[in-house]
Amino acid sequence: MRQFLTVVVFTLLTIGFFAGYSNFGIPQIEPAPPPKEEKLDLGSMTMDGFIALGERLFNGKGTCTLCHNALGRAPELATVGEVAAGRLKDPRYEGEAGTVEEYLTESLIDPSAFVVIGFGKKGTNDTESPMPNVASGGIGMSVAEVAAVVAYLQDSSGAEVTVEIPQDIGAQEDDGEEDESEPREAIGDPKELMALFTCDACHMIGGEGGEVGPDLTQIGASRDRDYLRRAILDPNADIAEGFEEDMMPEDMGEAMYVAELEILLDYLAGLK
Amino acid sequence: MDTKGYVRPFAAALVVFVAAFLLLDTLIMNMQGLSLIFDK
Amino acid sequence: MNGPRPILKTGLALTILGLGLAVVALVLTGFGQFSAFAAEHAGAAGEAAAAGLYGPAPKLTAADYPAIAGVNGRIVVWIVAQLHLWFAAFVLAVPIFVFIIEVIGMRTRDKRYDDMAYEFIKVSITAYSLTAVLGGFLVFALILFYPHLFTYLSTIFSESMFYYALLFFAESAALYIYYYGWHWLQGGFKKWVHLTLGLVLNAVGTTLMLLANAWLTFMMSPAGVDAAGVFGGDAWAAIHNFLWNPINIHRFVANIAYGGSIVGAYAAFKFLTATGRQERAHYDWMGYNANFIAICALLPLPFAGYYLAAEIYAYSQQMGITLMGGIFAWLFIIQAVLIGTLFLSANYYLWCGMGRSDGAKRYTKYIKYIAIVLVGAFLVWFTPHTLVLTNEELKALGGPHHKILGPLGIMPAKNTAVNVMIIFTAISFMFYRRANKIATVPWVKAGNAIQVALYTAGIANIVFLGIYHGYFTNTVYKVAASIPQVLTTLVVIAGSITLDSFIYRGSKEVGSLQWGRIPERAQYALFLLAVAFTWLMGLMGYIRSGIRQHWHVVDIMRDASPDAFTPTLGYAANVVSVAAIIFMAMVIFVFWIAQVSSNKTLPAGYWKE
Repeated sequence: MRQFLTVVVFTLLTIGFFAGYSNFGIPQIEPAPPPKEEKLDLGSMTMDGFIALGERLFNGKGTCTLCHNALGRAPELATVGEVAAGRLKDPRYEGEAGTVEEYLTESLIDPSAFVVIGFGKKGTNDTESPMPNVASGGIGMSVAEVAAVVAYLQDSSGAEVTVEIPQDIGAQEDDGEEDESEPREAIGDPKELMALFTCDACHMIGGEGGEVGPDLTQIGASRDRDYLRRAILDPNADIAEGFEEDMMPEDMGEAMYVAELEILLDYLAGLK
Repeated sequence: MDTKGYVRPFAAALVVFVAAFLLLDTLIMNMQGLSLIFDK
Repeated sequence: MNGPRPILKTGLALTILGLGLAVVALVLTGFGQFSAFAAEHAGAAGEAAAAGLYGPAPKLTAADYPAIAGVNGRIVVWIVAQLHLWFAAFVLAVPIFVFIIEVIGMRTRDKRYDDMAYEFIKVSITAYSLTAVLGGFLVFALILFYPHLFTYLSTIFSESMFYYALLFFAESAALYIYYYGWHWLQGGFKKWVHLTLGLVLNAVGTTLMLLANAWLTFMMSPAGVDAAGVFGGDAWAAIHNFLWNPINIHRFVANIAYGGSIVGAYAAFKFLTATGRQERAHYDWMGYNANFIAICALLPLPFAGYYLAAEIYAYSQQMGITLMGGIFAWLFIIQAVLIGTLFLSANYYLWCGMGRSDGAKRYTKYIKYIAIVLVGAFLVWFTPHTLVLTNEELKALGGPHHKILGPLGIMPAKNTAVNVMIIFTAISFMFYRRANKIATVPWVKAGNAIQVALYTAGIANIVFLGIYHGYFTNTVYKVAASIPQVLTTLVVIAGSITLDSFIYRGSKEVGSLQWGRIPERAQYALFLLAVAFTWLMGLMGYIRSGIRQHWHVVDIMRDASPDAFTPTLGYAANVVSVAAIIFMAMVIFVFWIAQVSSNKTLPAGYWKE
């Protein structure tokens, strides 16, 4: 019995030590709470307000303008309200929509249902769209938010707005800052840095990446560190010929550690 | 110190092992495909 | 006697073998059909989705989580799942090494091995039913507190859950025949039948674990569903998700180490309560073997862990950063304390065990140096990776790493420390093996010199790789250098064991080993090993689950419950501690039950004569 009690006490002491160390031996950090889900007050919203919400989502959370812009990475949406009816009759159409509203909603959720010729993923012969599902994890729009975007698309392309403001669906609005609220570990590898800040979405290096921003493959040959520093911290100060203003995020300076900026500049200046 | 019985075999074996390990390092660090695994 | 009986026996044995093979066949064909079915489904995946067979993952609100009697659902599910996992790990691991010990017994014809194997499996029998009961509780708890999550997961895994249930029956059948038939299936052909049963038991058990792993890795790295969570119909794709195999490997190895440590605690408990010399000798021997199993499996474990972490990084950089940075960076410091505890107590046990031999004195003078190196390596591992917490702290430190300790905080330093710890544990073990032997080959001095050279070159190489690639080359090589480091460690251990077996060929024994001649405090090292293992598994369970953050299924099904927040380390440690205490109480119950079954009371005058 004495042995038994000794074993019990020993076990409790060991566990107690581990628990004590975890509680008092290291600092207790309160992890950032999950991103808030704010209820949109749809009940008191007017149609104009709803369309305005759609526009904000289109330009902001939805990240739509990254590709749907004048540079032509994705189809122009200025006339989508008119052309949609024709697409429904197109033999290449694979979706189930019957109306323009249904078509627009479908193309946000299942972009491959109809791919405009020339805009498909490479090698799929325009059967697969490179666009993500806007309701999925990455963008994460709610049903009400998708409806608001559709309303905005109909309104901005001059078509009749047929969308009704959903009343019974709780809409979520992520504050979108969940990743920044926790201190990130500094990254020492410029390629990892560029991957983290998704530079390749717009900039091409060595034949890989997007075409929204200038090709950086040999940027070090024509630009010095000071220019590149300004281009990262204040992107609209000097826009390269043939590119749009306001395309590059202006908060790189806050998002990046100083040491990281220097590593990135070393790397970019070395691309010759 | 017993040179013949201990120090000599030790020195000889050490040279052989160090060379072998360095060869192993070189082979692996230059192995094709390693960069494919780690160069994310 | 020579009449029909042998025929009957052979017949029975054949029936058993047939049953065993039938189970194997069922498993195999079951899986054949399963994958054929899956393949068929994969072809029809698009149609299934189009036909609306499967809906998207539900978007939940706080109201979708039933509040039952003011009980915190997350803590209930957490603790029950953890208890289930502990018992399952134990129950799955024991048959693996029982099988190996049985084979050793058959080869050496040393009955002690067979008896020990039987005693191990006896301990696991009660634990087996507790595993099943806790698994049932877990399902209940999930249905009660997370009904929508359970429904969603079961639409995807309904098939594999069906096979899981079938396999569970097969597992129970195999285990009970294996255990209860132990003394019946002895000698010659019958022993082979028994061994085959053991193999079936292990095959079924491992398959069960793989299926269960698929469910939890699906939650971390979902596959076979589209971005909205609509299941494509291909169950195999959902099972064979990105993190499935990394978790499978990690758990398989860890289970063996864990199982070894728990039976080690059993042997220690029996040693401490033993009355006779012979009993003490038996349980000392059993404890030694259990510890040996635990350590053998512990050695490759850090590498399996690194592999898993690297795969998590490869799957999602976001998840990788959550894992290694932020608040979880501190978790790895707690982990370092625990792993240091494991290594130190395992080594301490070996050193105490050297007292069983009269020849050990020759080596005791080296032990203090091993201890110093182990503690040093432990401290390097203990050095925090990144100390950054707030911007103020960042400014105060002048960078993300501490100026002096910083270089010790990065991964190459820790890799080096782990490899050095493993090599020195191997040295401890070599001393232990040599303790009772006197080499008789004429080249013994040269042999020892070569041994020392091997260790010297190996350690030098590991340190060189750590310093050169860790501090003077780029990131790719920093990570990649861990591969030649691991290989060096393995080469040194394998080479040293081979060399030693040649040096000690035809060696004399100092005297017979005095089993049971070991201080009682050594048994507490075994307890420490078991408790630290248990607690560490709980802690790592928290981080594995925690890196999903506020998602049930990452990026697909959001956790909208009030408990979606990531708890602080202290909070998690408290939950893990409570669970560990419950587990230890249940384990002591299991040990006690195993003992009770062999107790007999003869009540005089109670029964009528």
